[in-house]
Amino acid sequence: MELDEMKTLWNEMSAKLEGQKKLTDKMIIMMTQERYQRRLSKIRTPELISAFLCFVMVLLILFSLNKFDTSYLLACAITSATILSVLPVLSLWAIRQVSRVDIKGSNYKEALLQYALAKRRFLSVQKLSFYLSFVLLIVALPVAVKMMGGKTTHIETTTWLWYLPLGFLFFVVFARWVYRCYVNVTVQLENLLREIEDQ
Amino acid sequence: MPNESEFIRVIKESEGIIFKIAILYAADKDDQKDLYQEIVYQLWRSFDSFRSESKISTWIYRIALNTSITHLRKEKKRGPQVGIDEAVINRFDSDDSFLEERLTQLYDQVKKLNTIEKGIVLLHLEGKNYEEIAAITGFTATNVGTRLSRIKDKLRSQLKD
Repeated sequence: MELDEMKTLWNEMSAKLEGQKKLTDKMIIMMTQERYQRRLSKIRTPELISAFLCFVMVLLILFSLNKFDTSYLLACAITSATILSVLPVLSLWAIRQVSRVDIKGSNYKEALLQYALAKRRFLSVQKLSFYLSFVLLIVALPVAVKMMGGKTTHIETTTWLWYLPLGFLFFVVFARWVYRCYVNVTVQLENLLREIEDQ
Repeated sequence: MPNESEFIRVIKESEGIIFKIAILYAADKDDQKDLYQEIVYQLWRSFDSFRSESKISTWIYRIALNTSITHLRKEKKRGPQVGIDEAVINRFDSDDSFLEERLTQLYDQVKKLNTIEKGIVLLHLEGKNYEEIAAITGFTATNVGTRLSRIKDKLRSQLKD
């Protein structure tokens, strides 16, 4: 369909819409109130539950610091606690950035620019979180074993035999998927940014 | 609530605009309902900040288009929607099936355009001139003209494909 033909059709639709008033006062009020309530209760449950679990884990590690009797275990525990503290903060920060586009004060171009930049930051944070999670996968095992009453600092060979290959396999499969999504979205974002600046 | 009766009047006058934007930016009927409701909510939130320096329609297009950019499809999974009637989204009855079919073709073509082109073409279809489109989008009037001419070419090449 050519643009002029589209315009004729659009006008036809607009004329029809003009003749149909479907919204009632009650419907409009309900729409705003329901959204308002939803925003008020818009506690991002999954993110908050994850943050809470991470916080509990950090506390458990910190309270068990005296159990980690070798420098290797202590380093693993501190690294685990640090990653567990950083991950939820990064995640909540990134989500907040994307939802902070100034809808009422910006024009379309500015809003698109803000959105694209926030999305780019969000993707970088996601990528960083992903790598941190992999480090956590490795360092958390000796810490968990020790905390659960493991008497030696050396984990049984059989545990490593299934844990590491399985973890690595999961990471490779997941990494490939994440990388593909990341590349696709990044290319789209870069195109969008180029389009915005195109004069 | 900001001046309730005035807000209701404005929304009733603009329900066609909101419908058209929701239909072009949303992926399916559920998403259209969700976006429609989100636009009404964002208009309500911004209503107090509206100053009569610009036309009310310019302000509505701005808020509605900006909301559509940032609208997340996942929102609809976060709970049931109330307050919006099916009739608000299903506008055309069986008598209009031919019109609806042609409109579906139109939506499909416009949805293939990128976000900037989609916004500009929507305003062009709404009968806005270059200056008005420039005021809403922030691009210069000359740039709007250039982009529209590229959009025409793109739509033509879509037809050939």
